[in-house]
Amino acid sequence: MPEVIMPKMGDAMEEGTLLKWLKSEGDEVAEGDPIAEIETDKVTLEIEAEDSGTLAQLMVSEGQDVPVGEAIAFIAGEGEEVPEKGGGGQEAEAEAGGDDSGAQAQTATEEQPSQPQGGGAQPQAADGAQADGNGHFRASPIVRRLARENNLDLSRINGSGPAGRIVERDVRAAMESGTAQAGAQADGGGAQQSPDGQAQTAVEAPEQPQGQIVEMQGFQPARIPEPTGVPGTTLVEPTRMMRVIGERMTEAKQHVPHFYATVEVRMDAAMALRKQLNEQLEGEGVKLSVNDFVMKACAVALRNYPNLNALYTTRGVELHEKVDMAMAVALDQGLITPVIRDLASKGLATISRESKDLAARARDGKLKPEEYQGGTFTVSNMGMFGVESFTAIINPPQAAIVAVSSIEKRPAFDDAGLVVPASMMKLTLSADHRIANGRDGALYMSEVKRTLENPVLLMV
Amino acid sequence: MPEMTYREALRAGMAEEMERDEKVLLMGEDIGVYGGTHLITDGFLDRFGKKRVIDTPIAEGGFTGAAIGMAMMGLKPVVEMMTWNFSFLAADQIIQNAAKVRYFSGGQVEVPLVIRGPNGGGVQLSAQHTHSLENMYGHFPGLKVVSPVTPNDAKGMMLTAIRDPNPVIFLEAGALYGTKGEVPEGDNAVEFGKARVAREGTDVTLISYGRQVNLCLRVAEKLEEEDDVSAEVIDLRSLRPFDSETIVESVKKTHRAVAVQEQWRWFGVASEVASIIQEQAFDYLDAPVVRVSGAEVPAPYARNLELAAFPSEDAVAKAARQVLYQEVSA
Repeated sequence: MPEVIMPKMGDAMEEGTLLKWLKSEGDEVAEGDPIAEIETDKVTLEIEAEDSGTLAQLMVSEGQDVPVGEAIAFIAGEGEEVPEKGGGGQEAEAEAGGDDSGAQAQTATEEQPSQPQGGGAQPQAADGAQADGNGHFRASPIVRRLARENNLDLSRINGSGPAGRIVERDVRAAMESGTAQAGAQADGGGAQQSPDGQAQTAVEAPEQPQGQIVEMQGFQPARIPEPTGVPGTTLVEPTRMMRVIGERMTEAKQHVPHFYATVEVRMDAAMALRKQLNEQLEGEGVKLSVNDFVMKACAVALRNYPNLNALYTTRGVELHEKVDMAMAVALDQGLITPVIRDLASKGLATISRESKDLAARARDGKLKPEEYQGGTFTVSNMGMFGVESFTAIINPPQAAIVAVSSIEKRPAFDDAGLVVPASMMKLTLSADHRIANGRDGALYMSEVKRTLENPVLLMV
Repeated sequence: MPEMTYREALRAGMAEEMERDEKVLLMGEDIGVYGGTHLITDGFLDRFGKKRVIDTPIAEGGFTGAAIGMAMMGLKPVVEMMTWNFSFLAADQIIQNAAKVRYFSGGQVEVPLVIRGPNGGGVQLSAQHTHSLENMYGHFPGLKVVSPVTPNDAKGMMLTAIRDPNPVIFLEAGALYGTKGEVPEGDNAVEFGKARVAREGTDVTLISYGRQVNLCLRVAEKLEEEDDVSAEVIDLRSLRPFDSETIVESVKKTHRAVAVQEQWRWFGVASEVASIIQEQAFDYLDAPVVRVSGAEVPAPYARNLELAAFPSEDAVAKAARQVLYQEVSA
């Protein structure tokens, strides 16, 4: 029986969150029907059925994190038996284990990233997913064993142990009163879960978010306090994307030795050129942004500083000839860095068109994994927010990132020593000291400055 | 069945084996003329003569080394450590030679040696004379380590220890030399590697060895009376070889376990017990295994402090109630 697995939506993806079941257990599904909505660290998307048949088992609850490649459901084809309610879970699992056909599900439409349905992973009330809920309760090993052996639904048992742990006496009491029998409750879907094998698979999953949060907290989790809970506070659980950003940035700040170099660039010439070009190209719908100039200048200048267009790998520093420029795009829920390939060889108009397209689709959550993976250098621009200067955290394994600040009018001296107005912009390089030294960073930034101050250089 | 003290049982075990096997001899400080500091060997010199009951200088490394040599040559020395605390001075001989000679020689040379003496505390001998060394010696492959608590086992395990072709660390419950128990006449050799169910029960298993077994038995009575809880008490008695099966079977029945030891918590026998249970009976557990151990201080001299530093009835009962979830903390 084909299984529907958590798909791998990119090299870095290790697990995804099942946000919502779009079908119920027992539903007929046709090939291509969306059956569930999942959230990865980057996007939210729908999983489609790759086979037609009956959705036989939903193996995870909404809100649950599932490792890539693990089955989330089974689709029974025509003539195939839906697993027995009593002991089918393990059989189904065994069968799934032997099924090498790989992904039985493919992703369809990608949707706006949205928050997981709370961290609490409420079992769906309407269908029989209750038994899956066995994973969401603290219960002692003997309790889980008794639940399996006696077909009990732990969600119907109150735990009397520490932190609500369900302990043996609770189960014995429930067995006597008969209140915890799985499947005792009549329900519309008519699909009862076997508390069997699935209970086992469900057991471990809820631990994972906790583990991740601990990791995200770094090496001294003890210093992170419990919530105060005082009036006037709200507790917000981080989204998957925020957790991932938190983990990666913590890792970068802890493990990558950053050094910084800031230059102040006089932007009058570039602004004049931009104005001129935009006037000339208006008819073609081209409107170049300052950031297009900065990215182009950063990419062109990298030609002489290959060790800043590099990845820190297990076997050494991988220098890249092409500049695959990642540009940071702020989202409501976090940020993402879509990549413009081989930017140095592209003209400003192309760069402008591609960056607008990527940014728009990033905000809509419609980027494909290959569009935000594999950058070799990053530019992060906060100029539109009026910041005078800032420093960015390197996006590993990349060697460097440039932080772009606002253009501000300042008094400056001309060649005759007279005070004149000047449009100034600060650029700050953050670079990995394992890969490059301060001199490389300083020379590179002065090259970027020279290019932007003499923007004709961008044309050659 | 005749009743005898722990001391008399040890004495009977050694004497019977000396009568049976002329290769058996005793060595130690003041064991001959004086009859032993704890009077374990009282009368042996007169009975077996000074060739077989040898008073040694106060030199544990020397006489233990000599005994290892005798054992390698075919004799069966039983060495008394006045207390096991003094064995630190002989540890090099015990660990580096006794435990390894058979292995080094590819089995050609055996070391049929028994080293015996009082282990642990409880009689106000203060920090330097109150060590429990079962975990230390139990750590080394090549040594057998036993810790009987009843007079029957004291004699029966002494017989087995002397007959064993390997070095045996025989840890006596020094505080219990005067306690009485039934010991059958004749050869009551107790096999190593077999734990003893000292009391049967169904709700919780208390696992211990040495004099803490008696503590566990008292706690079991208390739990029966006060809480109507049926506690099983297991006396490990042989720590190496170790009987996993008995504790695992018991926990499969009771679903809860408390491991009690007089020694300090870290790296101790109770940790081993807890680990074996979670490895082999995980699916039967209703609560994490709880350890009750000595306080993390050198043993105090003052009686009230000494009592506070060792596992108490209250501490063991509390642990039992904890695994029974009778005392639930949030």
